[in-house]
Amino acid sequence: MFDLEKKTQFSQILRHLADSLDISDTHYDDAVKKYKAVGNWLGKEGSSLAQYSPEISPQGSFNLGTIVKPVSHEDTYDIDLVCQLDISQNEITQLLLKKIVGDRLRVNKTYQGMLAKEGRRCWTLIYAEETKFHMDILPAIPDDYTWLIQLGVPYEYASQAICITDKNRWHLDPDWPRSNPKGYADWFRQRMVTVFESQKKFLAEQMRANIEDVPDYKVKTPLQRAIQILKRHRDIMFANDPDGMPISIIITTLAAHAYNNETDLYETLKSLVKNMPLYIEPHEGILWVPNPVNPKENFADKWQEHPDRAVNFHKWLVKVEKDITDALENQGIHEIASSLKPAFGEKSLNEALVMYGDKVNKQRQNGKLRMAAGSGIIGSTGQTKVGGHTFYGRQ
Amino acid sequence: MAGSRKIKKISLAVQTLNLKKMFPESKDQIRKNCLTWEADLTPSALSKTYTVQLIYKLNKSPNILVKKPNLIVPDGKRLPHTYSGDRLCLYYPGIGEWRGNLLLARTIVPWISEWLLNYEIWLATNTWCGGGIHPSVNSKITG
Repeated sequence: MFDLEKKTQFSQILRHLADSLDISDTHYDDAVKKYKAVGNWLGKEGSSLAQYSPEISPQGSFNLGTIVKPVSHEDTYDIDLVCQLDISQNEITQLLLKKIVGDRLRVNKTYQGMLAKEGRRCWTLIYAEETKFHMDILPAIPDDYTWLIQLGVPYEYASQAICITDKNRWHLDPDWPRSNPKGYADWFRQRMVTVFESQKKFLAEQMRANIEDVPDYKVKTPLQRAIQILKRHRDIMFANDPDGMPISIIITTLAAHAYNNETDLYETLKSLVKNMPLYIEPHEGILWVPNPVNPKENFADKWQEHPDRAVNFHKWLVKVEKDITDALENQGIHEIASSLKPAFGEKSLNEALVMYGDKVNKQRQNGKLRMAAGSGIIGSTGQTKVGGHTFYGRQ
Repeated sequence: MAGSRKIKKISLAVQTLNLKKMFPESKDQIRKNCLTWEADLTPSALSKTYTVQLIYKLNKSPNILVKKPNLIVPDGKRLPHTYSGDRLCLYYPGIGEWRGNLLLARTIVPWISEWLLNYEIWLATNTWCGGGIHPSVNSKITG
C-alpha cells in the first residue's frame, strides 16, 4: 500500500535528490559571470564583431534548469552558449561566420589559451581545472523563419530560429543547418507554466520579494526535477555504453510533452515514465521525436542507423519504473535508500537524505516539528509538538 | 512563591493515562512503583515500525529500549546517542530537558520517534542529523 503520507515523504526525498544533482549556486553564478565576460569581449567597442551586435545566451540544460552534476568528480559541466550575430544569410558563409567568431576569441590571450580544437559547430573554451567548465560557443545568425510559420510553428517560437554552421558539411551543402534553442526553451517553459508561476509566486512570498525580482532559475518545477532524476538514472545505467544512452534532448522533450503540471514530484515521475513513449511518433516506418519548434527536425534521427538506441530507450524507462517501485516495497528509510543507491548513485542519495534529516532537525529547532498520536509519525502535522532537547550519550 | 516551592512530580498513574491516550494500543503495567510501557512507533511513513519499551520509576531517569526489530549496528560502528545496553539517550541530563513534572507522552515519546527517524537516516548515510552531543567526543550543543 502506498498512502498519501508515504508519497509525500518520498517526494520530499526525491526533491532533495534533485537538489543534490543540480549545479550549485556558486557554480551557477560562476558560469553566468564567465559567459557574460565572453559576451562582453565579443561585443565591446573596438571588437571586430561589434558592428554585428553579438549576443551571447545560454542554451540547453543550463538554460532549461535541467542540468545535472557530472557523475564523476573529474568530469566537467558543459555549458552551451549561442553567439548570435546580426547578419543575414546572404551576407556571409558558414565558414566565414565560424571564422570571425574564432578570430575574435583568439585576439584575447586568455581565451586563445583556453580554446580547444575547432569543433564541428562550436568553439569550445576549456576553463581551468578547479572551475570544471567547458563552454561551447555556437556561432549563429537569425533564420528567415517564414518556412517555419508555413509548417505551422507559432510565430513566437519560429521568430527565434537561427542558422548555425557545420564544418563537416559546409563544403557539400550551401544550405545552413537550422536550430532554435530560444524557441525550444520558450516551448519548454510553456509546458510547465502553471506550476512555474505558482511556485514563483510562493517563492516571492517566502523571500518577501516582488515576483519580478525572483530569478527564474531559482524556481524548480517537478518537471525540471524529474528530468534531472531521469538523466542521472540514465547516466548510471549507461555508464559503460555512453553512445547507446538515450540523449538528453529526447528525454527532455518527451518529458515536457508528458507533463501535466502535476505538483507532486513522485506523481510527476510516475506519469512521465508511463506517458513519455506516447509522444514518439512513427512516420512511415521511422520513429520520430520531433523538435517541437521545428517539425522537420527529428531528435531521434540516429535511431534509424542504430535501432538498438530505440530499444535502449524503452529498456531504460522500464528500468526506472522498476527501480522506484522495488525501492518502495521496502520499509525503512535505510532499506529504501540501499535499494535506490545503485540506480541514482550513493553520494547523491546520501546527500539527499542528509538534507532531509537536517531539514527535520531544523524544523524541530524552530518548534515546528510534531508527532502524530497512535503512530508516532514525525512531521509538520500531528497533535504533539516535539520539544527542544539534546541527544546525548556515547558515540 | 512558585520558585521556592518544590514542583510536584507527575504520578505514574497520570503518566500512564497520558501515554494510553496518545497510543491507545500500547501496553502498560505498573508494578512496585515502576511503570513499564510498550508501544509500536513508526517514526515516518517510509520507516519501519519499532516496538519500544519505556521503564520509568519516579525520581529516576526513564530507560528506553528498542525491543523489535533489533537495532542494526554496522561493522566497526557504534550506535550514536545511546547508553550501555543500547538504551536510547534522548536528553542532556541535569539541565531540566526532562524532569519528573513533565509528561513522558509529550517529551520522551516524541524524542524516541525522532531518534528512530535519525537512526534510519544514520544507517543509510553514516551521518547523524538529529544534533546533540557526545560528551567524550565534543561538548558542543547542536540540537
